[in-house]
This record gives sequence, C-alpha cells and structure tokens, in this order.
Amino acid sequence: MKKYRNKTLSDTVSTVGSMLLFLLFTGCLLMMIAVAAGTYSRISNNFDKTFGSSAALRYLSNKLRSCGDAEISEHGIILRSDSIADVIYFDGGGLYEKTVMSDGDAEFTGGDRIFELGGMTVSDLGELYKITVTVNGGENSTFVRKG
Amino acid sequence: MNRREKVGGTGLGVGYVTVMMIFAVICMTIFAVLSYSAASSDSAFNKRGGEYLKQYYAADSTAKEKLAMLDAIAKSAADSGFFEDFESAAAEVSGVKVSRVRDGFSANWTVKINDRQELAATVEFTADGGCEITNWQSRTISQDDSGEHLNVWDGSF
Amino acid sequence: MSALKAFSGGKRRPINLFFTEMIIVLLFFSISGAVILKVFASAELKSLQSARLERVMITAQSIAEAYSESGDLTSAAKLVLGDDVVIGETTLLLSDTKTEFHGVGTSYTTLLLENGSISMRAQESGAVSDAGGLYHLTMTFDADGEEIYSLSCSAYIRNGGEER
Repeated sequence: MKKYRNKTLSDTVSTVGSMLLFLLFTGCLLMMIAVAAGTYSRISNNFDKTFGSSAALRYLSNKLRSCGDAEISEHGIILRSDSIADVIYFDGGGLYEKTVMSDGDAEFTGGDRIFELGGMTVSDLGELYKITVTVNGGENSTFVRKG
Repeated sequence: MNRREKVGGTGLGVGYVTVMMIFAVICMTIFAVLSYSAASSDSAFNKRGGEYLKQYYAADSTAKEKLAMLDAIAKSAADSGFFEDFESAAAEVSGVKVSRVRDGFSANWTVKINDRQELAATVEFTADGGCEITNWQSRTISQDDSGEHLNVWDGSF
Repeated sequence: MSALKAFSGGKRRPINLFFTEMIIVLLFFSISGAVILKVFASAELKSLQSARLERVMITAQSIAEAYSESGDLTSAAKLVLGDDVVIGETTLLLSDTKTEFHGVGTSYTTLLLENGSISMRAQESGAVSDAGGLYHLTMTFDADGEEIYSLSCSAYIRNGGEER
C-alpha cells in the first residue's frame, strides 16, 4: 500500500500507455486474423465456384460427346448409348444423375447428387448444344457439337 | 505483485503479448497454408482440364483430316463413275476400316485422345456423293480382360 | 537483477519488461507477418490466375465447338462472345500447300476479351479440295503480355467450303 501511495505521475502514464499499447496490439492482431480468415474464405469460395461450374460444364460436355443420342427437355437431358440411358437433371440446388436401361424408367426423379449448383439448362441450337450452369449467382455457358 | 511492481511497474504481466502473438501467428499461418493449398488445387484442376481440352481437339483435328481425305477419295471415286474403287482407296488411309453398307460404304476409325479415351468416328459415303457422319463420339478405351477371371470358388472340392 | 538495473539506467527507474517484450514480439511478428503475407499474396494471385484460366478455357472450348461446326471464326466468336465482341484487323497471307488440297492461305485475327484485359490471337489456315475445305484454327490467349492458354481445332466443311 505504501508503494501505491508513492506512485508518481510517470508511473501512471507508463501504466496507461502500456495498457493502450497492449490494446492496440491486440486489436491489430485480431484485425489481421480477421483479414487472413477473409482472404482464405474468398479463395475457398473461388475454388468452390470454379470447381462447381467448371467441373459440371466439363462433365456435361464429356457426357454429350460420348453419348449416341441426346434427348433434351426442360427438366434435364437423357443420354442414350447402346442399351443404357443416362438421366441428368437439376433439382433442388443440385445436379442429379442416374443410369437406367434404355427401355426402362427414364424419368427425372431419384439418382445420385453429383454437383451442388444453382441451376442447369441445356438448349438445342440446331447443330450445337448450349450448356449453362449457375453457381453462387454466376452463370457459365459452353457449347458442344451434336455427336 | 511485488516482483511485477519492482521490475515492470506497469500493471501488465510479462508474457501476455508473447502468447497473443504466438496465437496470431499460428492462426495466420494456418489460414495462409489453407489458402495456398486451395489455390494450388484450383490451379492444378484447371491445368488438367486445359490439357484434356488440347488432347481432345488434337484428336478431333486428326479425325477431321482423315474425314477430309476420305471425302476427297469418295468424291473422285463418285466422279469417275467407279464408286467401288472407294473401298480399296479408302482402306489405304491408315487406321480406317471400310465396310459395305446398303447405299455405299461405311468408314470407321479411331483416334487416341489420351491413355484412357479415344475418339471413334463412323462416316457413310454413298455413290451419289453423299457423306453422313453417323457417329463422332469419345469413348473409354476398352481393356481386354476377357482372359482374366476372379479367383473364386467354383463349387467343386 | 543488478544487470537488469544497469540496463534500465539505474536504481530509480527499473527496467520496463513490458516494453522490452513488446519490442521483441513486434520484431518477430513483423518478420513472420512478412512471410505469411507473401504466402497470402501468392495464393491470391494463383487464385485469380486460375479463375481467369477457367474463363479462358470455357471461351476457347465454346469457340472451338462453334468453329468446328461453321468453319467461320467471326460467326463462332459472335455466337460465343456476343455481337459486340471487338474483332481486330484480319491479315491474310496467301500460300500454297503441297498436298492434294489447294492452300487458301493463313489469316491472323485478334479479338479482345474482358474489356481488353485478355487478347486472343487467332491463326486460321485452310486448304480446299473438290469435296470440301479443311480449316485449322489456333487460338492463343494473352494477358499482361504473357501467353496463358492456347488451343488448336479444325473444321471440315463440305462442298468447297461454301458455308464460309
């Protein structure tokens, strides 16, 4: 107690200064961690977006290139080759695929969820198909020749 | 308390700043490594896609060169009045198999895209100078494993 | 302790360990922060380049597919990039090829994409026979003076390439 009574003005200023410096340092650290987390989040989102749209476009392009006959409808596409048919359609934020026999149940229900997407459309432009996928509000399109 | 006042005299203990700095550096290092890893994966994924596109269009170009040669042969055969000559002339184009169909000939050939895929083309040429692409699709190279069997029990003792 | 007192400048003003620690921590943090910042910067750059490469690849594939069907670069570019695409001057060099096809020459065209930040150099060459024309297109995409992607494709148009 004696020591506190004998505390000088310089000691008080030093204490307050140290506190302020410590707070400033802590604030800067937290801000830098937040910026780092934000950068990681942005890069990660970019990766997800790229992977989602690019992989879906490539997958659909390759499927269209390797099928014998494609049937386009507003719900999705049916890709027929030999005795099997691949049914690919968009529903509820995802792209679904199922493989059935050509003469079997080729309806746009069931199947495995293969990509998380915001939307997918395939349009017939005569000699070309236009595939459009939407991921996180961004739209990407590509063209594929008819086989 | 006495020691702190004697030595530091600031009201703040020694070591807090160090601990916070270590925590911040560890956090930032983890985020930096994760960011770089995600960016690298993205880049590698796109590069692989780009390579595949190059391979596919290289195979497509080769297949189209063959189509152009076959069409030129079919045209000259049709113009000469001896369309039957097409079969022998077309068979000389490397990798092309010709078979007779109802109105003319069917030529089919494959071009390798990469180790796992190939581009298969089938085109029908008719005596009236017609040319129809009936098949132009990429497919997986089939592995001939007909001689291999799983080592399972056949029911005999 | 005497050494510490000596360092602090005497008995009356004892050493302030907090400030000493702060200086050491800041020194270490600035060094490690610089390294971490460099990693972040390269990750960000890689991510941006990757996103740009992806867009370029999708454009290249679309143009290649449209070109394969029509054999016409201008219509393929307009179909993919829209009618307002900036198409630069086309230079045509006539040449002959020593094949059964007759050479129709090589042309060079430049297209600007993404508000001019990416340029596409297109080299088109072709050869025609009595049956049709075989055309080759090589697209080279440049950004910041550096080549980022290149793709070659072909188109075969029957009947002397009358569709061109």
